[in-house]
Amino acid sequence: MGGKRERHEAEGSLSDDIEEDDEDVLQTLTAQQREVTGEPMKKMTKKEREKLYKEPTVEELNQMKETENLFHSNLFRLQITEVLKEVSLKEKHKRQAEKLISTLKETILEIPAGEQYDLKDTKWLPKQKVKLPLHQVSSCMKGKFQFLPPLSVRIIGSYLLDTVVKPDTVVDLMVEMPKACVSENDSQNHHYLRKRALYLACIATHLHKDSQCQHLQFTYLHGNHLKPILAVTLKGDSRPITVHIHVVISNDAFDPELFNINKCNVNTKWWKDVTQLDDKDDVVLKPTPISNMSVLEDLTLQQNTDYLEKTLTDLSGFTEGIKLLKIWLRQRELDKGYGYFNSYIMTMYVVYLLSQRLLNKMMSSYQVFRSTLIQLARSDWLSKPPSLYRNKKSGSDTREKDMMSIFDVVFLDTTGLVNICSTLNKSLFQRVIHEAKLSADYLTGKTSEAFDLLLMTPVSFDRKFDYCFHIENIRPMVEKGEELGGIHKMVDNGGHYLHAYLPAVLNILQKALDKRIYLIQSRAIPTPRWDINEEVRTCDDIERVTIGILVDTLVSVRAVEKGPAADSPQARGFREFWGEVSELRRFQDGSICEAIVWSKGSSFRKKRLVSSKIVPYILKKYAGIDIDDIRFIGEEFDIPLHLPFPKQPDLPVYGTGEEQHAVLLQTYDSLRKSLRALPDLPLRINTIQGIHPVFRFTDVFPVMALNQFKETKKIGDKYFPTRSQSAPPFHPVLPVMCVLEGSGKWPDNIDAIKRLKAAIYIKISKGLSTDKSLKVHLHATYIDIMKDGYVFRITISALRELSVLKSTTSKSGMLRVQTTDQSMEFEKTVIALPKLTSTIHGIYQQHNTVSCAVRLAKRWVSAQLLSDHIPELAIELIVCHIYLTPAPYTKPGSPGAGFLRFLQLLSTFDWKNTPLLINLNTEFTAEDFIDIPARFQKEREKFPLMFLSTPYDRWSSYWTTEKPTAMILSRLAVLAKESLTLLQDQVLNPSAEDDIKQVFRPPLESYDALIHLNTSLLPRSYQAIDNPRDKLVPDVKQPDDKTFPLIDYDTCQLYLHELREIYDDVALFFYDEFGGSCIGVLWRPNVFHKKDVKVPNLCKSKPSTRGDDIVLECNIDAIIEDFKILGEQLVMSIDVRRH
Amino acid sequence: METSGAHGSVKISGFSVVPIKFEENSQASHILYFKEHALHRDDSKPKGRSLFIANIPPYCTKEALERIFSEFGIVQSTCFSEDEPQKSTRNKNSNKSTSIYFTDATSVEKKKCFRMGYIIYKDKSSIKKALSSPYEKPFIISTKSNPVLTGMPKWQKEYKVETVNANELQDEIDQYMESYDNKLNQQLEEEKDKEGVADDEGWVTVTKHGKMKPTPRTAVNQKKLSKKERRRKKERELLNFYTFQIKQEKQDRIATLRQKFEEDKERITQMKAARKFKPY
Repeated sequence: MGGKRERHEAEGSLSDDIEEDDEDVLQTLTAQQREVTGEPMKKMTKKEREKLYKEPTVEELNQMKETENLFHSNLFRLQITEVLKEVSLKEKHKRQAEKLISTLKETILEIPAGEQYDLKDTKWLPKQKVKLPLHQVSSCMKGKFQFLPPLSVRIIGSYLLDTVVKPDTVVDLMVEMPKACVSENDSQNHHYLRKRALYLACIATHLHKDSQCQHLQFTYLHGNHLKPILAVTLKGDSRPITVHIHVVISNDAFDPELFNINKCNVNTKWWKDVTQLDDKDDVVLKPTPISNMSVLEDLTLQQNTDYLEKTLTDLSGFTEGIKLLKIWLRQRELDKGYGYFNSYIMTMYVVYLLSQRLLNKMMSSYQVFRSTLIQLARSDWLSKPPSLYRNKKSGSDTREKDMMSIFDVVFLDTTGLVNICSTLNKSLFQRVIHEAKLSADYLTGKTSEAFDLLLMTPVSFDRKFDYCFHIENIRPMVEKGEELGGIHKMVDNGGHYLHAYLPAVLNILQKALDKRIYLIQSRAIPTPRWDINEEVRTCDDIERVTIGILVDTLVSVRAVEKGPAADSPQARGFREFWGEVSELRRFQDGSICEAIVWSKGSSFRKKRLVSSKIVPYILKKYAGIDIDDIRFIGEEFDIPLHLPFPKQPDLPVYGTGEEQHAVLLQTYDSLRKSLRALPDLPLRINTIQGIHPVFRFTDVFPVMALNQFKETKKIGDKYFPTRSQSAPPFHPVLPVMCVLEGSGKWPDNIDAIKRLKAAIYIKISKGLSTDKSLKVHLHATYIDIMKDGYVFRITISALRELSVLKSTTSKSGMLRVQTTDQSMEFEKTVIALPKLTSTIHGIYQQHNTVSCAVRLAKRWVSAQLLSDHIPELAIELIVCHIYLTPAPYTKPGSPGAGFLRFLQLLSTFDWKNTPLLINLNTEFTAEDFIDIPARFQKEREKFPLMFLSTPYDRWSSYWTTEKPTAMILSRLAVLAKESLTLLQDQVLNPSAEDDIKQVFRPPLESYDALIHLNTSLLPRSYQAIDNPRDKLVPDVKQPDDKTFPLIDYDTCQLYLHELREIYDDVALFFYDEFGGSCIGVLWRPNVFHKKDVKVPNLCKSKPSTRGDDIVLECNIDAIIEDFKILGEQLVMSIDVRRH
Repeated sequence: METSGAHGSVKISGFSVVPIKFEENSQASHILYFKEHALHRDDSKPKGRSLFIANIPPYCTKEALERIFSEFGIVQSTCFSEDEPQKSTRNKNSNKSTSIYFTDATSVEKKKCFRMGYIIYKDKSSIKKALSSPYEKPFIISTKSNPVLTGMPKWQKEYKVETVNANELQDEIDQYMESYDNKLNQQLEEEKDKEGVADDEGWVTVTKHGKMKPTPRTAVNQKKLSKKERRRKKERELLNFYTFQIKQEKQDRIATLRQKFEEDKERITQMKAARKFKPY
């Protein structure tokens, strides 16, 4: 550390050297440390020293060694210990649970045998109290059922293995149904499933009477509708305990071969007999793997549990590692739901890795966690499935192959009979591998943040995926059953059409979207839970299916899908797959190919939404789902950026603003060319860089080239404001910064430099005046140039100015270099801002959605009336950070995803303890990631509240030195959280009333006074979020490029400026710069204090009394009157809530 | 509060207090405080004829203020306290040429705010009249005959796009640069004259005026020198030579490890306080 700091200082001192060439100043400035350079470390007290240097004990040495070998770093180890402490069950809690469970066990074992009933019959179950927890379409059942006391009851699952993770503290209890309850024939036609459900219902009936059981509910194991379980809430001393009761059949009841995956155990005829009455005998007996697996899982449950128990006892590193993995899954929402990667699969995988010696018994929790994720990331289950089955006897290979041909993912259990991943579908598995890969990268890369990213940050569905679509009516899938895999699939799944067909739908979608997407996944449907006296939940209860896609932003914008050449053999397949939308097209390279044109328009918005056209088409074609039942989420986020500009043939498209940015930049580029081409300037112009947000593609509403409005009058070659009752639209000036080449001839006086610069301005303006396309206005400190209706303000600077501004001569004649406010300002606008502008522009070229995301974020901040309290560059940098360092996600592929993550960052980021490192151009070194946070923590007070560090500006956080204040920062977090919850709900549970504009309307409750403005006098009223669509930009006429438009004339900003200048000591003002119609006012708390009569206190006061004394108090009434006076005509009314 | 006089003028610790309204029909009003100016540092505010006024609203112009107070007698001059040059800079800036195009690096932009000001009457008796003005009769800033613009009309009037004449600007620049160069030359001459001449205490300043400039004496250069010295010293030292050095090194390593451990522990407690370990 010490050495490094010295190095920094050395660099700093070099750059401070004013004798260096100007160019060098620029180069070394980046590495410079400014005022904030750390003071030498505090001297340790003697006591502290002794403590550090005492003889180490053996124990301590051991611990240090262990930390070094088994954990990555101390901090990681401590963090893991803490999180494990947080999620593990407390001993006290465990003891209590054990006591309760042992009594429950006894209760269950003591249930007496029941009478024998017909299997069809359910009338004997106590009416109104217990209903059968199984949905069966066919009631054609033969046989009898009699309840017999269970053979055994034992604890299984995570509680047994001590891998319970809070808050899912569930004790799994297995109840063994005796062999005598079933007969050989019960393997057929879901008879066993029915018996098991009846058995469970019997237990429920008995426990219902038990006073110990507080609440009884049925639910499905892992969402699997074939496997109902009973959830019992036991009354505990302090808190209730949930027990899940699983019923399984004694493992010698059936021959496992009966349930070989190639066997058919559910007769389609049996199933159809009931649903449809056409009697066809030619129904082929197709295998029923899902049903078979579900029985086999019961038969092998004990064996697998024994194996797990035997392996994991006394391996605390492993159980803890599994806990971490479970948290990992949970944060990614991967563990719950049908067909998801549940924690049972994860536990089995860890055990499998141990059996393969990819893990060893000595490993720590961290190592188990890390190695498992890395193995998972590298593994290729699809071609080389893992297997716990050791006995490599004949037949196991063929079974594995059979399994692979039937199931998407295969993972054999210890018996070799069961595929643990039988319900896991391919798309979800790809997601798991994708997440594992990302996580493995964090683990192998920089570790300082890995812990947070892996275990603490939730990766929710709405933020993970770029676009979501909701299918609100899934029923039509049944009709298309034959195309989605055949009716037997539904039979196999006991009539649950969603579980039967959804994987096929996803596969087709994946094929259709192909390279446009990285991932597709359907969101887990929450596992239903219902009281035992209610009807069983079926797939008809499912409201909607949500599918998310993660897009490749470069490919997904292709509006034309180019297929194979017309005469190639693949052409037929392509045509068949796509149906009528496929047509022959001739391409520019002369080839004639099958192709599909998804979108005709060329606007960015339309291009982004190509997938929103593909998905409904495919769903209609293959799953019969009507377009009205599909809701596409993602396009809503374009609304706040859209402007109701009229379409005019000779005006460029405005779209979502990106197009306008591009048009403007073209003009700017040609202006740059003219500047560069200027002959005989005394000094060459080194760099020309615009510094307005428009040049970084981040201006919320880029200016349009309009200048002729009825609200302006023309005098000479300029437009002027009139006394009209409505305001002309706002037209900003676009500043451009030019830096001249270095020269030793500049004077040492800043005023003299100013004169010389003015002389250069004169030269430039003379040089440009020959160009007819430009209109030049010379000023002593800048030049305004109008081109194509835009006004650029050119400023030139020489780097020499910086050293002049900084240097002062001391009395003894020694030159000192000192940062002053002016030099800081110079660094910001002349060096940092142009650099940042070109960098952000570069980021936009890599990630084409960044522009919309930034602008959404800026618009949102402004809509919360905070636009003047949070510097816009801070917002831009934060959004860039989301794109550059998207962990734990991948980079956002849609404006909406970027915006949601921005809100999440704001609502959760701990500004107090952590610096935000924005790795522009990935120029941070590994050391920076350690050094910057370390020093930040040590010298917290020296840095601004919101500390943004970039490789160009490591320590000074230029843009946030003064704002935001603590109050604003905490308010921002609160607002972000509220907006995020609201939007999340809109994305995941959309309804007809949803309106994204809701989060762009300011909350006004908390202000002391509201100044309502006359909207027709607002120059930006057309940008307001609730601007009626028919009210367009006032009277757009042909741009007139001979006359200077009305520039930088925003009356509302002028008003705010006056208010802030005069009343800054008594109140804070809040305003939405994008057409906001009211200004929020908050009194500063000191306003209500009474003050003594003294000359400095006379300001804004009126006499008042305190007891007998005469004192002064703030003259609030008069101030409010002032607000009206200063905003003559602009202010409509003032609504005072507190004074 | 004391009330004196037949008209009911109000006084607070020496200040006369009169409300000041923007218009005749304004609802609320600010309070103007004024008294006879007591301090007499210079001649611009003669004794007995100057009135000190505090809490003048920002929209009250000089003209309006003068109009209000001319009610009590003929006003000789009016000024706001912020317009007066600061004492420290007054002498320095006095000889600076004023430019219509450029502002000096040292000048500060004027901010709008509640101001203080002075009225200087021609006649001493006006002061008394002014001080006894009644509370019930508020001053009015903007009247029909002399309106004061605010808000939209004001901004509209103030809007301007400046353009300058290139030739005039060029002339001014040339003039300035000439005088600047002259000044520099003069300075150089003076320095040369002083060369070799001892000052009061007998010290002689030595300067080099050749083509090759000498290394300047800057704080940075001096730092560099001392750093170089230190480095040289360090290089001479032997490391890993004596047993005590090796032992020391080992001890140091453990100490840093320990210290890091302590730091980490502290961070963890901080994080714990921030409830950072609840993964749900």
